[in-house]
Parts: sequence; C-alpha cells; structure tokens
Amino acid sequence: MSQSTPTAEAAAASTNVAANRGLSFQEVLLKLQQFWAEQGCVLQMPYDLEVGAGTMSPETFLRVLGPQPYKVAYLQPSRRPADGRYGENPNRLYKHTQLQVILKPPPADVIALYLRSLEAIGIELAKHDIKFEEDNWESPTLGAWGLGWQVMLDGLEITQFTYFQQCGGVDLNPISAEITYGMERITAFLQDVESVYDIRWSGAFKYSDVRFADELQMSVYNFEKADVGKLWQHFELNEEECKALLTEYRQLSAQKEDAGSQAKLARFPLLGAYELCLKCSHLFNLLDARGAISVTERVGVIQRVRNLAVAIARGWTEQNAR
Amino acid sequence: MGNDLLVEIGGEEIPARMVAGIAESFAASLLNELRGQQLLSATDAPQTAWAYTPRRLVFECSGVAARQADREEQVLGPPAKVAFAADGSVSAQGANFAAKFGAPPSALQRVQTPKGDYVALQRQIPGRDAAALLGEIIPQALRNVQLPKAMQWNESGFRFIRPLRWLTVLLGGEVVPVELAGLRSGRTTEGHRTLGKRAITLNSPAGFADVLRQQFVLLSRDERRARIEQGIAAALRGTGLRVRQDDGLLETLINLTEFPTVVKGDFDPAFLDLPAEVLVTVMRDHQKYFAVEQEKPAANGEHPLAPHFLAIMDLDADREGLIRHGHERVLRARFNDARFFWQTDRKRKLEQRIADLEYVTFQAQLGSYAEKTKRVVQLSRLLAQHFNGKIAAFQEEAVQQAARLLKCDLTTEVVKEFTELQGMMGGLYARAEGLGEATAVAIYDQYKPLAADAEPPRSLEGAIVSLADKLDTLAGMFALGEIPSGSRDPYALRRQANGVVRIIDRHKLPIDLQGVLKEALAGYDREDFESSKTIEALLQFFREREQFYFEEIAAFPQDEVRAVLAVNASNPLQAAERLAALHQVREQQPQAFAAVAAALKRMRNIVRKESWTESAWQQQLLKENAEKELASRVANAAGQGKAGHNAGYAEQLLAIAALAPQLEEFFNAVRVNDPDSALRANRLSLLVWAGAELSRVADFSEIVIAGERP
Repeated sequence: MSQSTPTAEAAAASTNVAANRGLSFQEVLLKLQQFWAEQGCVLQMPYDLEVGAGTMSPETFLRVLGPQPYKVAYLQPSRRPADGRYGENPNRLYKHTQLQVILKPPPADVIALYLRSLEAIGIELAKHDIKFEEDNWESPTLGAWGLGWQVMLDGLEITQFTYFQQCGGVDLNPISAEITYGMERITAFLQDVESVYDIRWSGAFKYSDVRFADELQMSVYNFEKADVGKLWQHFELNEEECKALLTEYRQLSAQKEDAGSQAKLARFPLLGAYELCLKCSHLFNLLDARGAISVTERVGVIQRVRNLAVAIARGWTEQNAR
Repeated sequence: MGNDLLVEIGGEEIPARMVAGIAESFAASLLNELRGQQLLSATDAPQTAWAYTPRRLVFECSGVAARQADREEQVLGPPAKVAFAADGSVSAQGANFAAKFGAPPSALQRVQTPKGDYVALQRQIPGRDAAALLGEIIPQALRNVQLPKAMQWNESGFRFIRPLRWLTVLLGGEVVPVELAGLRSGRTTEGHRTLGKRAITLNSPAGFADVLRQQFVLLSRDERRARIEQGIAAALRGTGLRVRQDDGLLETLINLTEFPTVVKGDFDPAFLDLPAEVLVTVMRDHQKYFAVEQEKPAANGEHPLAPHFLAIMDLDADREGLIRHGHERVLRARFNDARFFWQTDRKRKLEQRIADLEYVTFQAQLGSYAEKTKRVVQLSRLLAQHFNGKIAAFQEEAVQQAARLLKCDLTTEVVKEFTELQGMMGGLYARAEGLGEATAVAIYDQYKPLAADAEPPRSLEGAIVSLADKLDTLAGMFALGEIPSGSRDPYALRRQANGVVRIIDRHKLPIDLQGVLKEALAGYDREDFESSKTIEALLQFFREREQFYFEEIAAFPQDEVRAVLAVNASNPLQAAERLAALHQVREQQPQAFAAVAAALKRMRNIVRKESWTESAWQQQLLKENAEKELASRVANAAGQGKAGHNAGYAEQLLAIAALAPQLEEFFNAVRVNDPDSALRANRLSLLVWAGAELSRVADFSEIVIAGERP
C-alpha cells in the first residue's frame, strides 16, 4: 500500500496528468499510426461508407480471409445510430473513432508490441494497472467470431484484442490478430477530462467544436427523422442488387473452367456486392434505432444481412484462391 | 531417488474463470501419465504441486526417474507341438519365431497355457529415457485438458484456450526437449508483464517460486489471496469500515493477477442516494471492485455502503497515485451514467411500460415479453386460486399486480445497461412508485433462486409469480424441442426447473406438476405445440431435477430418493414429505425396515419370474395361517393411508415396518409354488396385491440393503 496521504497522492496525480496534457486528440491519432507504420503496417484510409466498426471495412473483413499475409492500420469512424445521445452524454457517441490494426499472422510477441504502442502515446507501463480480461467477440451479422480480451487501463477499457477464428462462416488460416483502440476514451484518459467533448482535438479546437453538431443532428435524424418506409426501400433495393450479383457470381463459378470464365471470375465485382451488404447493415442499424424492427422481424433481418456476408466471404476466398 | 521435474507452460492471459480448472486438470493428467509410464517410484510418494497465474500453468514433481526400469516380457509363440519336432529338437517354425525376436532357438521355453503347451521367449525391454517420454507425455497431458472453446494462433494448428508462448521443462538441471504448439522447451521463464524481466534463466527446478517472486509474480494462488486480504485489512484498519465480502470476486481477482495490490479509492457520497444494488453491481460486475460498508449495521440490520471502493491492480504499487485517480475517474463516469438512467427511468411508471414489452424478445419463436406477461398473469391467477386456503394467507391482488408488471423493468435504461439487475430493478421501481411492498418484493425476487441451493423468493406472492414465470418458460421451450441434454442447456432450463422444485419445497406448496404444466402449455394457445409428448418430456425432466435436488441439495440417500420418486414425482411437495418420513422410519427401525425391504424384493422377484400381474385373490383359497395373517395385516396397514384415515406417511411406514415378522413367517410357512394350481394362482395374486398395497409411500425394491450391491 502507498504510504502517502490522499492529498499528496491527488497532487502527484494531477501533476503527472498535466504532463500528459500536451497530447491532443490528433497527436494521439498520429503517434499511434506512426507506431504501427513503423511496424510495417500499410496505413490505410478509413473506409468511405457507413460502418459500425473497423471490422466491417474490407481491409479487415476480406483481408483476413485466405492465405496471404497482411499488415494494416487505419482509423475508422464507427457509426452506431442507437448509441447517439444528442451530444448530451459525456461518454457516449453516435460516431466514435477506432484505430484498427490487423496483423496476419500475428508475431509471437504481439502483446509486447501492443504494450509498446501504449508507451508511444505516453503511457508509462510501470505506473499503470493493465489487465487483459476475457472477451469473446462474435458478430452474428458477419458470421464471424474470435477469442481475446478487453484491455483495461486503470479500470478503463481502452482496446479490444481479438484472434479471429472465423469470418463470413469461413475458418481462417492463418489467424489474424485484430487490435481495436477506442480513440476518444484513450485521449480523454490521457488528457484527464471527464467528457469526450472536452477533449482537445488540436491546439485551438475542442472535440465539441469539431463534432458536437454531428452528434446532435445525427441523433435527431437517427431517432426522429429517418423515414422508416424509405429506409426499408433502401434496404430492399441494396439487398436485391447484392443478391443478384451473388447469383451471377455463383452461376459463373459453376461453369466449366476455361480461360474466358477464369477472366470473368477474376474481375467479378464481389467488392461491389460487399458495399451493398455494408449499406444493408447500416440501414438495419438505422431501422433498429428508429424502433422500427419488431421482435419477430429482428432475427430474420440479421439473418438476411448475414446471408449476404457469408456468400461474399465464400466467394472472395474462392476468387482469390484461383 | 530421482530428479525434480519442473514444467511451465507460459503464454497469454487465460480467462480468470477457467485458469484454475485448466491448471488442475493439466497437472492431474501429467501425474497420471508419469505414473503410467513408471517414471515415479511406486513406494516413495513423490512430492507434487501444481500452480498457475493468468500467464502460466506450472507442475512440479520430485523423484522422477531418469529412465524407466528395464522390463522383462514373455512373448507367446506357436504351440509346442508345432515348434518342436517329435525328437524334441526345434522345428523350422520354432526357429523362425525365435529369429523374429533375434533370439537363438535354444532360448525357446515350453509354457503351459489353458489352451495347451506353447513355446515362449523371455524378452528384455530396455527402459526409455524420461526425457524422451516427457516429450510425448507433456503435449498429451495438455491435449487431454477439456476446454470450453479453443482457438488457433499460429501455423502449428495447435488448439488451446489462449496462445502459448514459452515452454520451460527441467529435469534436475537439464532441459527436457519438448515440442509443442510450435514452441521448443528451454530453461527460460518470464517475469511480470510490466515489472519483470522478459527472460530469466533457470539452473534447476529448485526455488522456482522464489525466482518468480523477485520478478513480481506470485506463483501461489494462496499467496495472491493473502496479499489481497492483507491489503484490504490494511486499507480499512481503524476506519470503522469493512469490505463487503464477495468470494466470487476475490476468486476472479486471484486468477486475474500475478502481483495483486489493493488500491483504495473514493467516490462522491452523493452517489449513495442510488440503490445499493446498482452501486454494488457497477463496482463488482463492471469494474471488479470490492464495495466498502459501515461496520455498524443500520436500524434495519443492513450495513450501509460507504463512499469508497477497493480496486485490485496487477502491480506492486501505485507510485504516483495515477492508478487510484484513473479508477476513481472511471467509476465516477459509470455512476453518473447509472444515476442518469435511474432518474430517466423513474419518469415513466412500470404500468406505462407494459406496451413497450411488445418490442422485447422473450424467445425468437415464442414471441415477445408482452405475450409472456399475459400468460404469466393467467398462470399466476390459476396458481393463486389453487393455493388459496391450502397455504398461509397471501395477497391475491399483489400476485396479480406483480405478474402484470413482472417484466416491465426490461425496458428500463438501468436494466438495459446492467442486465444482471433485472427483477431487482423492477422491485426497486415498484417501491419508489409507492406500489405495495408485497408487489415490490415479489417482482424483486422473481429470478430467485439463482442456484439450486440459493434462497428462493422471500414471500408467497413472490413464490407464486416466480413459479408461473419459470413454468411458462419451461413449457414453451420444451414445446419447441429445446430439451437440455448433456452439457447443452443454452437457456439454463435445468436451473429453472431446480428453482421450481426448491420453491415448492421451501414454501411447502401443494402442486400437481402435470396439471400445472398442461395449463402453462395451454397458455401458448398454439396448434403446433404437441401437448401430451411435451408434458411427458417435462415430467421426465422434473423427475430428474427432483432426484438431483433431493440427493445433492437436500442430501437424502440415493436409494430413498429413488424409492419415493418411483411411486410418483408429479407432486414435489408430497414427494418431499414421503421422503422425510421414509428417512425417519428407516433411522428409527433399521432392522425391521431392512427385513421388510428384503421381503418385498423377494415378493417382487417371485411374481416377476412368473410374469404374474393379476392382483385379485380370494379369501376362501387362503389355507395356511401365515397367508391369512399376512392378508389381513397388509389390508390393515394399507388401510391407514386411504381416504378417511389421517395417518401420516411416517405412521403408514411404521405400520409396514411392523409387518416384518408376518412377511418372514409367510416365506417360512407357505409354499407359493403349490402343486394345486388354484392355490398357486391365489398366492401369486396375493403377493402382487400386497406388493402394490405396501408401495404407496415408497417403492421398497429401490432400497439398498447393507451388504447388497447397489
């Protein structure tokens, strides 16, 4: 036990925290990306469609399939309509920022590497309580699961660490490690602020300056204005088109192998089908936030999105094995 | 003699809820293999120990031989008459057999076997080196460990609960070469993730725990526990406060840390306005903190929470107070959330939430909680009407109100965030709204008992709605074919049925399961639900649950439980009463009881051998005194249990126990297999009748008599 009095401890804490206050949100983003770039990762762009998590970007969902090694890091704004709070909750956001790292295959010292990434943003490991607590990840819409941990830093969950085992219903070989950092949480911790909106984004701007309007207006849209009838239409149009593509791909792949069909298969736009599937997934989340999906419908709609994701994962694996 | 063996399997954090079991099972399997391979002395007991932290499974053993002893083995060859020629010389076949094992023909021996004389060879089997054997045994022992969900992480394809990263195997001072999961064994271990060294070289197994301790790893779980307990005591000494005991949490923290140290933190006393249940759940389930309470109880006997918590960090010290500061910050955010939810929730009454239950799934194929609520209200009403007057007084209106509002808390923000508070929150909101205390308590307790030996709902109102809720779930799930088997019980239906039995037993509720389950199933009003098959499966399931409950929880002898349930398992309260009486009478009159049980088994065996089922006998065909006497005494004894008589089960059993002399006399004096076929038939029928009459409380043929194999 520490012998120091609470006051002395508090004083020590505030001085040390003050030392960390130099790191702005964008500096933390830059330093972590810098760290992973130095480990040989491709620095990718955020995927430019609405997704609920970095996992849904093709840079994760499709890259973890098949035998080719890959290393990538990217920021991903992650939209979860139901989590919106009109900008009123200090810790909950409709859209938060993930830093997603995929290591395929993971090196044997992957955890030591991860801990070094924390040092890179100014976390002195010997001064903090770090625990790896069991967290098994499963995504019913993506037909994916993995085992791993949530990483706790002084009681705060800052990272999800997962060894992917299956994606789109396909067993993975090699295995990929997925490291997902919650950037707002980590920065609020480093800056010792109580609300994400008080995070200093850059020297001159706070998180609220940059994002508050987004949180407020999108909460109004997601919860109050989004047109349920049209959302369903969008969902069905996207699903229909995606299914049509998948049917065409299946017929093509069942044909006798000749040079012509090979070329057709190689250029077949499964990536286009995947974008349609991602749109369905986001529309489902919107409908859910609007309270428009009844109990009996819910399971069925998840299954519809999953069917698309699974067919695309199978197709992609086969397409890339040719 | 022999060497000390050290095996350490190191890697990434094994989940806290499994690591102890995995370590124990690995050690048991390894010890078993060592014994099986004769690497341990049969005479001197070896010193063995197993230990674990989240990052390592450790097995230590003394007295491991460097190699197996050489053995001699007899190999049987062809029959002697084939192996030897008539003149006694070795034949070609005999010589071939010897050559196959590299022996000269002169080594052949003649041996006698039950099948005649054969030739045999004595073969020397040299013992194998321990090192070579360990290379096979250790991977095998690890593969033998049962894992709930395994994973792969590298090209070796090895499956385990989390990745393995190093392998330390020393026999005496030597490294034993072992290959496993793409790893090769060595003599290095690792210290604590952030405080210890990454590679520590070991010269021998000796003092392994001390080496680790210097690297901020407490290998012994007892040492980790002691450090936590001493830290808690030191943090609270002289404060008038005490820790709220939580053995489950303590176990988790022992298994989650290599070097646990207590950090005491504070929170704003204003949060104490929130229900203690909410605060403790946030601290325990979400943050793994111990709650702190006043040593002195309040007027209601409860110990009020104090505005402090105890976090357990995996580090030696909080050097600059950053850790305390960080944990306080996280808890403040969690409590702020909880307060916001609590206040938001109270703006809408439970009654107003009933309609929202349409949007909460009970089970995909069984519909929403709105539908479930309607069924549970109806079933609660039936149960209440049935119990009225038969049990102590209870408030029927409170039962109805509780049933109607039972699931409304599922739509509250607090329960959406902290699902483990379901039920309790409904009770707390009901109380805060000023609904009657009976209603609030019934809602609060609805999920009890949480385990087969845990407390059931406190009140009769709570017991009734809890029964209705559980029976409704069981009926619906069974109708869907969701019947638990083996380890597959995704909806925890066993726990629900155990709960039903416990509630009935503890609240003494007279209930006929068959009738109530029919009503529960009818509540679904579904044409596709097949009633008789479902009820049959449910009754069989309840029979097993009652057997489990009476044997494991109420701790009655197995044979008595079976004897009672063999008669009827549809009324658990009645079964419990018959069981208690049976147990009491057997203890009071062990000899008479054993004699009657033996006689009834003998009777059953006779009629079974003859396949006799007829039970009508005629008085005028009773010839011998012994059979007349038996008939009249059995009729008397059995009459006590019939309508118009108020004899309890114990009296009925005592009357049966008193029949021991008559039963014995019958078998001594009466020949059942009489040459006169009319007499024989009458006697067999008499036995069938008597057996049935005497088995109304318990089936004595299930009773195991001392000296008899169960």
